[in-house]
Amino acid sequence: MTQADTAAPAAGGADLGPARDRRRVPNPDGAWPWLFVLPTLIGLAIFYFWPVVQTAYYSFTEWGVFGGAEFVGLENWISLLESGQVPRALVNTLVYTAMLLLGIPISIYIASLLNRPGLRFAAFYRVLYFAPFVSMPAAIALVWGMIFNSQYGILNQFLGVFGIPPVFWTSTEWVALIAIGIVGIWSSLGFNIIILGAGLRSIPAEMYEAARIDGASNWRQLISITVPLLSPSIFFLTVLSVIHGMELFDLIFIMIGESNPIKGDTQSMVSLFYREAFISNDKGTGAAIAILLMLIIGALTAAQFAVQRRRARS
Amino acid sequence: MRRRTVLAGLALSGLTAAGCSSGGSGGGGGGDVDISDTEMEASIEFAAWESDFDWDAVIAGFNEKYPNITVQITKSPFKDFFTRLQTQASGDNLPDAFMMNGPNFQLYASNDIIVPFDKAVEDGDLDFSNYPEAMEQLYTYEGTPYAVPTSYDSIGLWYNEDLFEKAGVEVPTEDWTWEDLHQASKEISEALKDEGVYGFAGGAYNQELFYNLIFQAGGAVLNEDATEAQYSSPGSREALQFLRDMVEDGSSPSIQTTADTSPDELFKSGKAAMVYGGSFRVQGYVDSAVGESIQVVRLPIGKERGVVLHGGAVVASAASENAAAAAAFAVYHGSEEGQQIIGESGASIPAFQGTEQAYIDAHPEYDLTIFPESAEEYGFPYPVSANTQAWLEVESDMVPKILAGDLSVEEGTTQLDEKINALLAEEAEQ
Amino acid sequence: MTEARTRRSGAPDDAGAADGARRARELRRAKRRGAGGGPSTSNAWAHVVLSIGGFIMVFPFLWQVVMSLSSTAEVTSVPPTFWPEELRFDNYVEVFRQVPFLDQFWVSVRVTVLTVVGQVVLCSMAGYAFARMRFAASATIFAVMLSILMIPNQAYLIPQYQIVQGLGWLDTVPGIVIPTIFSAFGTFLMRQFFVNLPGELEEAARLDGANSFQIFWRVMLPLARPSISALAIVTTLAAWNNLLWPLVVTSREEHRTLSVGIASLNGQYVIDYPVMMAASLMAMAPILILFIVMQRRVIEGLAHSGLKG
Repeated sequence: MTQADTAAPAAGGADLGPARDRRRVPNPDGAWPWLFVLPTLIGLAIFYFWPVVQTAYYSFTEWGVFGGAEFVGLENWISLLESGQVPRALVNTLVYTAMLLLGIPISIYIASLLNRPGLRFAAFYRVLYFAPFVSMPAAIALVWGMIFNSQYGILNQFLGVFGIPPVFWTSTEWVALIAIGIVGIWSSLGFNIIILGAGLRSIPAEMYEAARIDGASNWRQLISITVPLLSPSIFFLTVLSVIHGMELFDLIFIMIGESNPIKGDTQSMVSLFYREAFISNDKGTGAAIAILLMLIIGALTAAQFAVQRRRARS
Repeated sequence: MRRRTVLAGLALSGLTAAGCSSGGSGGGGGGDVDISDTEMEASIEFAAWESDFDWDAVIAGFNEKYPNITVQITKSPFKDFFTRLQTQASGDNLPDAFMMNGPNFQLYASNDIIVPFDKAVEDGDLDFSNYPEAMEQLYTYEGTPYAVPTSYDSIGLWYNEDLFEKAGVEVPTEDWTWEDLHQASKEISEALKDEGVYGFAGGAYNQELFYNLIFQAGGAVLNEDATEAQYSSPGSREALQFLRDMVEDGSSPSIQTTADTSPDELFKSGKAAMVYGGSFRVQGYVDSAVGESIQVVRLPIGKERGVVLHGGAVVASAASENAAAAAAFAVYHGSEEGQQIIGESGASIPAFQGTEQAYIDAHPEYDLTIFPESAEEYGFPYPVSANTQAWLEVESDMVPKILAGDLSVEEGTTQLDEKINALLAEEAEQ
Repeated sequence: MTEARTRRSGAPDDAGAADGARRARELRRAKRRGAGGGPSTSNAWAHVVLSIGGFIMVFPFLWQVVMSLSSTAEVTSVPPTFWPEELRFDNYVEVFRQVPFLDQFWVSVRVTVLTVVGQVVLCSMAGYAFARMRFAASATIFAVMLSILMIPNQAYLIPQYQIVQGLGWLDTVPGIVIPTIFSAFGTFLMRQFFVNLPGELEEAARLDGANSFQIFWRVMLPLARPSISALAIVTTLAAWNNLLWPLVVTSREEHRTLSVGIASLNGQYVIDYPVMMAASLMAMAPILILFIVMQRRVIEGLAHSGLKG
């Protein structure tokens, strides 16, 4: 009973609580909810929300490194829109995010394979897939940088065996984004698989059993049973992947160096923020970029929630 | 001149008006620090980025003169060093003393963040004639010195004797001109093409590569008072064109190649016969595969001789309670004694003239005397302005494109000047 | 199968309960007979895919191991050196010389444990409240909270530094930990989980006379094990590998975390690749071992809650 309900499609996923809430019933929770949320809320308010408000304020000022925040109205915002760098950074970031989203179907497939009952060495595989998640981002970027290296990188050596000429993975426009996207997918598989694994465990085995009896192939089972019942987890991962993708920074910071001709074209929103705030010392413009990014991610997330709600209703 | 306004919105953290306290612009407003009291007690924090200098030995030497000052050193990766400083600055919590470099110097000096050293100069504790002129220029703001030089770097032409022999080309001499460089590079590239070896490593570094060529061609990066960019001056264009030509005819690798495999990596793995390398590269070259086949010589001559001089320094935070102690440390490390210790690590040329011998002796197999000599004889100061980092970003966005041929030299340098001038104008407003 | 697809949450089907239980029993019997995994050929395909994928996943680490045992010259050689001439184990010794490894290791452990415990406690409580409890403006508050996630970390750097400084926590473990135990992400994760639980659980518990806290503690929390595991894992990694924040907040070497210590190996011009690779492998090892060991428990936790009928 509980199993099937737990695994029910996203009816409850995007909602803000079970439907019965909407009926007017005296609140049995009393003051408890506040006790539960207050510590987190207060902490978030101090350490996160207040800085967000500050950042929003600073986006309307000219704020240098050493103090002196002068109100300049919309100046920063206007220069952002005129800059020509922001649209490109946004596109780059969206491309990377799209690639991260591509990682989700891959993760579903791998997770479903790992979840096969009676699969030997499952634990061993799990460790393999999880390993990238454990490593320091800086080390990852370094190692992948070396793998992608046009001269001594393994990848080009491997391609060379098939007669493919060396590819400049990190110094060709757009290709660099793909390379970075590959690293992004590679690093995120571990986390995705864990979340999906938890979701898969809640799908009752009888469903697969019944499907198998009905003659459904593994693929069919995947599509008709696994994916729909995993909706909540998939939704969760999608929302997170979008947020995570839009905040791309480390990989660009480390893999795209100073002498790279595509450096100007291959900024992400956050690397642009970092550049303005910490390198060019224009923290007001940096703040504007951060707020702009927040609004964009907020819009994308709200859209995802809205789509989810619509699907749940149908 | 910066207009100062009280920082709003920090009430929650209990901080108010973080930032500049003293009014007026640069020059001595930061207050005098007296370092004459050798018995003073203090505990200071010295922030450095990872380098090979033996700071512990410097501190030990310092403690012999100032026994009651404890110096605690904090190291950070270079990439994050200035971000960290800025964060600390935002909380008025800069380390008492910290390392500084050219591109960031003026930002700190012009905002009275760091201690001026004119009193130390007056009292005779600090004498800038002991350091290369370019260093004095680099670390003086509006006539007052705000830093004590640590070390400097010069650039030389490193070459791989084995590769030259293999290609049958004569090794460089100190009388080489640009044409000689180009000629030899081309020959070597052609002779050793099958092994993937280039004559000249190329690349797009500024300090190590094209700034030198610009100066040698009689061009400039910025004008005298750093109000205008001069990439489109004939000399600068000539320099960039020269490098572009070498990429184009295969004498040096494509810019895409040097983007992910730096020129010095190419040189170290024997894939390039020559490279313009800084004096700070020595340690890396020694440990490399080519360590025993290489030698260094002065840079080839353009219209004139020239080399870019850049160096690090140590500064003291003006707002610190221990400013005097920090300043004392800075002055000590720049003294002959301190500099001797710095030189012994062989990582960089100590700024105090006369102590370079330690650097030179660290690796007698290479002709390292050319570095201090060239710096002394024809060193040009590394170009900086009030907010150098801002336009350095633009430069590093565009120069690789110019060298790669994505932009013509003319078009590219014109655009570059436009953008940089806009940024310089912004600086002036502040 | 068709039943399940059209089922909505909060609509129990008692008639199917007995059915499901019976089928579950049959399945378990089938598993014991060894037929549960289906014909072995289908798993062979799984093995092929998983192995290839697994190799791609681990390959960069294998490469890292090779690099950590090589010399600097070999690391950047063209063409790449697949096996160093001599295995330089002293690169690992060198790590101890250049980094106060043990000190920083313990700092990292303390920071990580505190962060995980803090986050699990705070986020499960808050997540539960957002999901299952009614209180004023909860939806709005939740939405605002999510928006916090959407500002890049680097933008929080300076404001958080000032706050931590104002609280006097610079260069301390609380300074590193406290801002990170309040997590919008963790709350979101737990909330998503709790939202998907059926409502009858609470009704049943209330009928038994439990108050809200007891419901949370006795009923909901045990069910939340998979999500808590996931949260714990993610938080452990984030805390262990966090670089920029601890770097900025701490000064003294003994107060720094391992990730900061390792990153500080990066010189301006000279990156000692082999030592860096050795160091980062050493830093990664404890977590990996932890995962390998905990994996059994994690899987059991997942399995336990999955089959709970």
